[in-house]
Amino acid sequence: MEALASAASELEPRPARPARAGQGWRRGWYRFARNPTAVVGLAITILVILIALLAPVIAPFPASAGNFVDFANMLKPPSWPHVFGTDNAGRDMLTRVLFGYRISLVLVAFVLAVGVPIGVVIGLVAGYYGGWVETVLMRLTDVFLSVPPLVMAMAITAVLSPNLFNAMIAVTSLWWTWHARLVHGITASLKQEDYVDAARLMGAGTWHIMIREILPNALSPVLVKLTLDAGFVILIGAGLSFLGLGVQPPQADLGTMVSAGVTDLPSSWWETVFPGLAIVLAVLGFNLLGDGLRDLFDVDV
Amino acid sequence: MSTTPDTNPTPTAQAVRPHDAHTLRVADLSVTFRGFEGTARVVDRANLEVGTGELIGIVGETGCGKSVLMRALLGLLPGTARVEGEVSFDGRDLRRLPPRERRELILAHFNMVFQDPVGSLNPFFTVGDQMREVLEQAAKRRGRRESRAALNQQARALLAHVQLDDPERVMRAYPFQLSGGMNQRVSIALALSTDPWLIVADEPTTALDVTVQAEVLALLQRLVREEGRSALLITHSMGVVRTMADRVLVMYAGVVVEEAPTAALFSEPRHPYTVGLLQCVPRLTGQAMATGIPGTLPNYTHAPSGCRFHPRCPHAMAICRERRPPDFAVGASHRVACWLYDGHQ
Repeated sequence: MEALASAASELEPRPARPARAGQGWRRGWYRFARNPTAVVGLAITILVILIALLAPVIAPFPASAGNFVDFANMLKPPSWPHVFGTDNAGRDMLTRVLFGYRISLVLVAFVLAVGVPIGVVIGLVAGYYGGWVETVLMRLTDVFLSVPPLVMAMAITAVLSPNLFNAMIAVTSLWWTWHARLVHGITASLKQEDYVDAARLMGAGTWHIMIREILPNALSPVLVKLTLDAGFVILIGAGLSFLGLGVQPPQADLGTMVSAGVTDLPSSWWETVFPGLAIVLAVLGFNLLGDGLRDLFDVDV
Repeated sequence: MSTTPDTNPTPTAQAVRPHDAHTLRVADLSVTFRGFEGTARVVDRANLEVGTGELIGIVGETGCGKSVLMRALLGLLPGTARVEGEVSFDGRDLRRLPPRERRELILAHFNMVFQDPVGSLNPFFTVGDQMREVLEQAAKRRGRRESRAALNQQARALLAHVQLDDPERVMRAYPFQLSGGMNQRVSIALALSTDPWLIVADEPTTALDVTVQAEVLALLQRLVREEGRSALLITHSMGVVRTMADRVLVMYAGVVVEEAPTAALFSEPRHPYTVGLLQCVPRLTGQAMATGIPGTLPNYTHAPSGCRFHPRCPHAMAICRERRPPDFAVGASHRVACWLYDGHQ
């Protein structure tokens, strides 16, 4: 009898399980975590960001980050307490590498925080309005795209004075283009969705449709591209500094350090190899993370 | 909200309040697209009239211009389309109104239910987000600000009104977590948020399971019959119009070839195309196979001269190739665009 009752209660429609806040995040993490390289990428990215934030705290010789000279200790090979050795002014390389991430990430943050929104807005407007607006904006984008970023950055920083800020401006002036293209394509296809027509029938204006209906659905490819971009921006920044067009000594920049160490190769290899490896690590981290996010969101960028 | 500033806070109460009588008239409406291959007239001089409480079916094959006609009414065609003719609502020609007034008029009186129930909801937001959003906008247009709790209350009421069992759960779900039938009910609830006088339903059941189709159709029918709305039901299913519609328009290649009260259309179909369409419906009695209509829909850029149906018509005459047939009256509100009925009284 009791068994019957319990069987009957099994057949009762179960009350729907209430959706808990944060369930979406947990599901996302579950899927993300099944991709080991993505997790490694995330770990490296977090590590790089933490290093940049905490550099003054964790660096063994904070004074080495700036204009500091200690000729008694110049060009020491890796050993305790200078784990990465010292450069030709006797500054601790480990300290300078840790501080170098600060400049790299400032560059990344500026370029992406300014460039990506510009590109997204241009892409949205071009894709949504179509017609001559689209033609003008996208041909303009093509013009900017046709200039290699490094060449453009060299031109700008050569005309203005070479420093971090001008390097940021130079890279940003070109970095919006790919995002404009990406968002343009997505917008042009999403604007034909029924839910856009439905929103229009319910009185939504142009901005509402662009920002609330279309943009959220274009965000995941943008996020993936943005993560992949971070690595490339670091590379370009380092390249500019290496050529002497970016960050100027004595500021601790990875590209500048590689460049400064070149004259002492091959005997003092640690002067170039450690900043170089630091660049590799950061670029690798962002790229692995970006690839993982791309698989997670299942998008093409 | 189209009529008086209402005093009823809940949408259900609002929805039950009968609508004022309105008339929508479409006269000689044509839609043309220009393309590389030439100019395509996708809707050719269509006429249509909708009164309050009417449920009108529009049938025809895929690609016959049904959806384009509806989109022209609602102002949803892309800028590349050229629309000619008259769409008047209570005597005001929509196409001559300033864009802002036209949008407001459409917003106040019309809304639409789409074919693809998942595609007509934004995948990024939960159903609750989307319901609250439109209800908030609707409240704003009435000059009111609603609290979140009030919006939730209204959203639940609307979802219950379209017979969704567990509004709480539906509100928390994303569209892809719901079945097609549930999504279609949500779409209908969203369409009801503006309390439309006219619901345009573009093949609302085509994407649904048969079992769910009947329920959604019954819901639409109830919204028209009990709440004094009107509906334009676009479908390619003769069975659907037969059970649902008061009046039926048959479209072929952008032309309304026949219009008749539903009973008359099925008992006495006049246009050879309508006759052919009805013969395409398989019968359960099983005496004969459905015959079908030989040939295919013509190319719009090189549409046949005269009557667009003549290349497929078993009764084609010389005049059919030369002149487009006007509408001939063949009975009480029964008109047919076919030369066979020239002089018929």
